[in-house]
Amino acid sequence: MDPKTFIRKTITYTLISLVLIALIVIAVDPFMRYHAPWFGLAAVETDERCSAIGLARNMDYDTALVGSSMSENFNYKWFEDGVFGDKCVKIALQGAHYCDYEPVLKEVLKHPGTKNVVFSLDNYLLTDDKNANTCSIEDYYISGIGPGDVHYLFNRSVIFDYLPKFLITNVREGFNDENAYVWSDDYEYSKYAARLAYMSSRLLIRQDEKVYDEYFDDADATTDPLIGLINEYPDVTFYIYIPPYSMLFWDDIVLRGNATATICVQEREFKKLLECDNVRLCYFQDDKDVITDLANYRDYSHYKQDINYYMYEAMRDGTHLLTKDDYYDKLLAMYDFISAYDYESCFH
Amino acid sequence: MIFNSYSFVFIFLPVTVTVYHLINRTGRELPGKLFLLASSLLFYALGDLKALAILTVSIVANYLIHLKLTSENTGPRAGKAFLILGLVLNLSNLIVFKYLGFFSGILNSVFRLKLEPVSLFLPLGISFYTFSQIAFLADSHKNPSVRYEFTDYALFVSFFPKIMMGPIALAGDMIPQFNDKLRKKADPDKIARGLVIFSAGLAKKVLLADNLAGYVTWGYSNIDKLGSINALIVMLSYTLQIYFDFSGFCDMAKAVCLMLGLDLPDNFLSPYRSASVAEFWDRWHITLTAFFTRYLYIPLGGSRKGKVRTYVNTFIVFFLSGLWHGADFTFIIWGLIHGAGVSVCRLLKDKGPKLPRPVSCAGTFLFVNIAWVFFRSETLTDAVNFLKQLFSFKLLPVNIELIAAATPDELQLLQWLILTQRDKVPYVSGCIIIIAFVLIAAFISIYCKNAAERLASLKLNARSAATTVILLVVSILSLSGVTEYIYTNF
Repeated sequence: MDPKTFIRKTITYTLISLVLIALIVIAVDPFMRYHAPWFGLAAVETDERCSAIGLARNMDYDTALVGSSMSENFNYKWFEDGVFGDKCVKIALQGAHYCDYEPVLKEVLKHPGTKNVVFSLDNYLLTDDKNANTCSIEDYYISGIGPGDVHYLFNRSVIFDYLPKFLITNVREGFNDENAYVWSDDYEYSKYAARLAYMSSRLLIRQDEKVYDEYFDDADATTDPLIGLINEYPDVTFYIYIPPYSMLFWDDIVLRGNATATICVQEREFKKLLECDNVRLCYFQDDKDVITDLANYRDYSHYKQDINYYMYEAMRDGTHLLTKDDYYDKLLAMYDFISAYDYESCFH
Repeated sequence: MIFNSYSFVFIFLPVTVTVYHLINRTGRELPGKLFLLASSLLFYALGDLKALAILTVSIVANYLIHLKLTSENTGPRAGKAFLILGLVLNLSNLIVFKYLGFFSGILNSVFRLKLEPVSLFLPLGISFYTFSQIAFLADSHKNPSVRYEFTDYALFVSFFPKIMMGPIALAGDMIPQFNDKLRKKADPDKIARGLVIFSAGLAKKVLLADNLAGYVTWGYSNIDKLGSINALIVMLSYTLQIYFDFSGFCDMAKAVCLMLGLDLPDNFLSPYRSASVAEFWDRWHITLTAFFTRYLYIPLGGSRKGKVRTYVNTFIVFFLSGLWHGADFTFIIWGLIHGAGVSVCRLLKDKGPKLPRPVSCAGTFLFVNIAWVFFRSETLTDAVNFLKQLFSFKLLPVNIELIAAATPDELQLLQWLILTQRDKVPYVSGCIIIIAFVLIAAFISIYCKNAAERLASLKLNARSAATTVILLVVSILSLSGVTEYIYTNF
């Protein structure tokens, strides 16, 4: 073959192949970057980090569920009940830090139809070292459409994994998009299972209670920007819920000498959140029926889907709310409870 | 910037090649060279902006010494003094940025000092461009009648295909090419061949090396969990990873040069086909071996000063080769192991039994594999622990985490389709995949044509075009989330 023909053909066929691939990715769009699913397809489970911004930007919704693994077992249909709204989107980010949530929340709030945001304020968001957190959503997904899209359009994982799975999942028998990112049925929930998962990391010797000045800074790094967003969108109602971790979680907190710090940090940050009129702060941590019953858990913090439904009902009905008047007493009562609790009962 | 990036493949490479050839059409030499120099500095700055100043100072300082060395007014003694000055400056630069932390650590442990740990940033490609410049000064001293223009010299040192990871080309080989009028005309044959070799190099890096990296990273982070079988897989994976990583880069560098009408020296000639450790070094990182032979081994006396001095010289070369690769005892031990290997080869060459070549090749491959364990380990203790696991003959099954560490997307999808298991890699098929992947990679490294062989026998036909298109497309799809090159750290 003539070298010029070789070059021309090689480059032409390479470009044609890449354009075709890009067109397929744009049409199917498994991360919803360009549009909500076409061809009657549903937004099924792909990758939380890659699809979060796309879901926030392009789906049709008035209620957004944003949160960690504590949110994953929510069935988004529950929130399409007319009380919250008519359309809901679930954007779960397992183990995410606030730097991951922030761009998602910004997209959700920019979305024209957003009325409600349901957000899980995990304890680790308040206590993690803010300097140690690494953000896990790639910049090119956060930014608008531009040159960074090559990472999505020409991506082997997208072409050979997410895209085919997206299509196949949609057409599989028994498919139900309400189960996207729901893992509840994949695990055993029992005292035994929860203990087993926790025991390997349980401290053997109780540490002294620590000073917590730096914890306040770390907590502020989450709540201050969050409150900034909340104040920027006064017409949006923020259901901020504190998930019900089991007593094994509190055992860990107490053994690490963090009980006082944790409650003090919560007191300070909740006070700030309660200053916002559009915040409903739902506190599930002190529901003793839930947190002392290890049969609800698969490890020290993750609960089964029934608990998600109970939280949905509570948020819908306005129970478990903290107010400016009672939040301090409730936290104090919680502090007394976790300080006096017989943790050994969890292990017998 | 790196070769295996969207910006390089889609923008930098096509723009540089096209504009360079368009400029050359004017018939003037300087604009083309200035364009290549500007492109090279941009390429370097996009990879390591803060190191650009160090590179620039280094180029200017070395060029000034070159002017002195090639000046008619410089006598032999002054010439020698300038050469020593150049060596001191270059080695000081290397020591400050690369070895200061290592040496202060040694001083702390030997003399029980409490020196603050020093960790300056490591400028991109410093080991490569320092050696290139040392060679340049040595050649200038030896041959003072050859004086180069500053543009030529700056382009030679900063030339983007080789600045990051070599090969360690010599000024005498490269600069005449920059000025060769015959090379200024765009040659479709060379560009076509460049495309073929570039696609193969890119595929080596992103399809083979980066997948193997997953096994290696897991293995060296979980040495205590390995047992013999897992250790064997991880050890082989690293042996193959480093080859595909480095030789893939060199193939791409050679291909880019071809597209620009230039030739880079070969750096790899299928090293895992070697039948002895000495032969391995004739095939692995050839330009580094050539550098040490020409500028260290021979000046030390080579093999001309008796047997003992020959072995001492060999060990000095490999000790420094190890140290060049990294500021750690693991690299030094790796170098000394190879020094011992080469010495034993020399010893047995005349007196030893003649083994069939396949047996020698297998023995050499095993030797090289074990040496790589020291090279890859974070500490000597890790290396020893790794080898203990390898030779423990604990036949632990293939670890599920090792399988999950790097199963290619296509195969994960296949498993998902067949076994309908969501996000879980079924164990048996996972074992088959990992073993098959390593064996196929080993087969490719040993039996497939290397870049030089491929160039010599390449026919531009529909088959080679189709292969190039497929490799380019699949590799481009794999550019997202690739690992960095191993040798950029040296």
